[in-house]
Amino acid sequence: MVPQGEVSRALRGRSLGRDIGWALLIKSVALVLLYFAFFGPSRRVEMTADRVAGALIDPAQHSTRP
Amino acid sequence: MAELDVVELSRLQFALTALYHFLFVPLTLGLSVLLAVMESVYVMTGRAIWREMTKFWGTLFGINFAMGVATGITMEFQFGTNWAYYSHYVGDIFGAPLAIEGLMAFFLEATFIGLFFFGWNRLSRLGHLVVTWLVAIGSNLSALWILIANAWMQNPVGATFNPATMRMEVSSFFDVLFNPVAQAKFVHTVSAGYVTGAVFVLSIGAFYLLRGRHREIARRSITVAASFGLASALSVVVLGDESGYTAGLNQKMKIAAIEAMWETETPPAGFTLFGFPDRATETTRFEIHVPWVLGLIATRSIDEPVEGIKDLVATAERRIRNGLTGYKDLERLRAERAQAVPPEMQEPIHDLGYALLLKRWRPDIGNATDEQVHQAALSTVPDVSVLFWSFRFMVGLGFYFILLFALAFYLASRRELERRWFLRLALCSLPLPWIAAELGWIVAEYGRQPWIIDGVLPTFLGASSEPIGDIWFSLIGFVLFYSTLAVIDVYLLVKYIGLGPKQPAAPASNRLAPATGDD
Repeated sequence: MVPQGEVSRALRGRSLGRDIGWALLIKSVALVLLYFAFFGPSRRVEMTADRVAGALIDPAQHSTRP
Repeated sequence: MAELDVVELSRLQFALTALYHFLFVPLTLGLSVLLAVMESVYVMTGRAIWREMTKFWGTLFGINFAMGVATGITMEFQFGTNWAYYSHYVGDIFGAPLAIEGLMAFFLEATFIGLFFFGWNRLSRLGHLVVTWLVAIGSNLSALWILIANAWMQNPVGATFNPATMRMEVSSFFDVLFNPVAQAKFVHTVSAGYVTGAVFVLSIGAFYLLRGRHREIARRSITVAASFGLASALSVVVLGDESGYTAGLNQKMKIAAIEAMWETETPPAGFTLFGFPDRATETTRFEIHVPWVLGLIATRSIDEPVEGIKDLVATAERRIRNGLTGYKDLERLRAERAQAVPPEMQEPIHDLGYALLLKRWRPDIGNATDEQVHQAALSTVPDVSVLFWSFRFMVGLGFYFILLFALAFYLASRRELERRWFLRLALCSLPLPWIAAELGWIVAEYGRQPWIIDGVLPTFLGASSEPIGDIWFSLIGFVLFYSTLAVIDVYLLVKYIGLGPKQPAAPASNRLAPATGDD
């Protein structure tokens, strides 16, 4: 027969695993959603040396907004 | 150049994500080492109660790690969108430590955390202890690489500007790695993490003693936290002083702002203990001035001056004018498609960042007026009041932790831990290390303004021109995301603190030695 203490340990370990598992799942989903909504490849600003030079040293350039 | 409101919002978003992220980090750093210490005692003594302690604090460590892991990745999201100019300008240097952190330290940490939790009955005692130490080492190495990247923003060494690629490129990875600011920052930050871990264990232990629960484990935990915390709190202050000294060498304006030091004093400079800095009049009202102290701390000498804000503004003005020469040189180098900066142009191009501060006032900075140059020089002064007070609260808390742990150590050595006034004090101290750590980051990062890379690139030139609505929505998304995580983290921690350490297994199993309180 399994001692009472061992049963309690197993149940608590399973509960902790379930809690952390859910939290990690929610976090992963939220991170993926945030990434694709606001920071995905389509949102990324492509940078080139000319574009940076335009922003920093072009006297006519007042804003780098495309 | 992005619109200023876009820059401010991008800064706010980055600051919030960094501050939220750092709620999880210090506890991971501190608890990982405390777990290793507790398990070392278990392996050395063979007393099962130390194994139960390690497993209990390990549960809380696991919850915090699970909630905190990957919360820093949102800052990397922002590099490519909100900070595209910054990413291009410094990516060659900044990318390497971040990649090494992910590939080496984080995987080391994450792999061994799995073994820590699932290896208790599968590994030998010594094998499991090695795993626990590797978890601690991995956590600390993660911090090292991130702080190397951050320190480069404070003190950009080991890099040269390439006019063809319009970016800073690594000239000496050794210099980047052994940047004195990185070394000082690393030891100061991880010590602050150890204090956080120790205060956490002390406070939760005090909570159990106040409730009369799990007394054997609580007493031993408080004793470990008191000794480890005392050593760590002393280290934080000593290493923080070293961090201040390196800042005094490389970021004189930050030090002058922290001290609200408007004028250069005859050495050794005095320290302003208290006062109300007034930027408009460039004075500090109701000042309590302690002679000599700042000079000794900041220069380690009695004859070296600590430059005041007004003199540093004058220096910035000279560097702006020098940088304007560099600006014209750069235009020529770009036109000639040069691949490197010739030696005679190195010095003015070194001050290019200062000239770029003028972009805030006019696009054709070559035609800047004297008044605009002066305005740009004044913009090198960060918000003095915020730095002055953040620093003093942080340092005050640092000294409080020394007293708290010294008291805990004294009471533990006299076996008088169960004094209720002390236990209440310890419990109420729980949030303080997080407040101190966040204030420390405010001093470090807000104090670097107006630079994103000190002396090299102004913050407003690092930001991209994302639509302002997008930044608002993503900012709200981050606040919701992190607030939810914080709530879940606190809920789970409270739940498992409430459950407490596991009850001893049946005596017949012979796994738990009698707890006598003398171990």
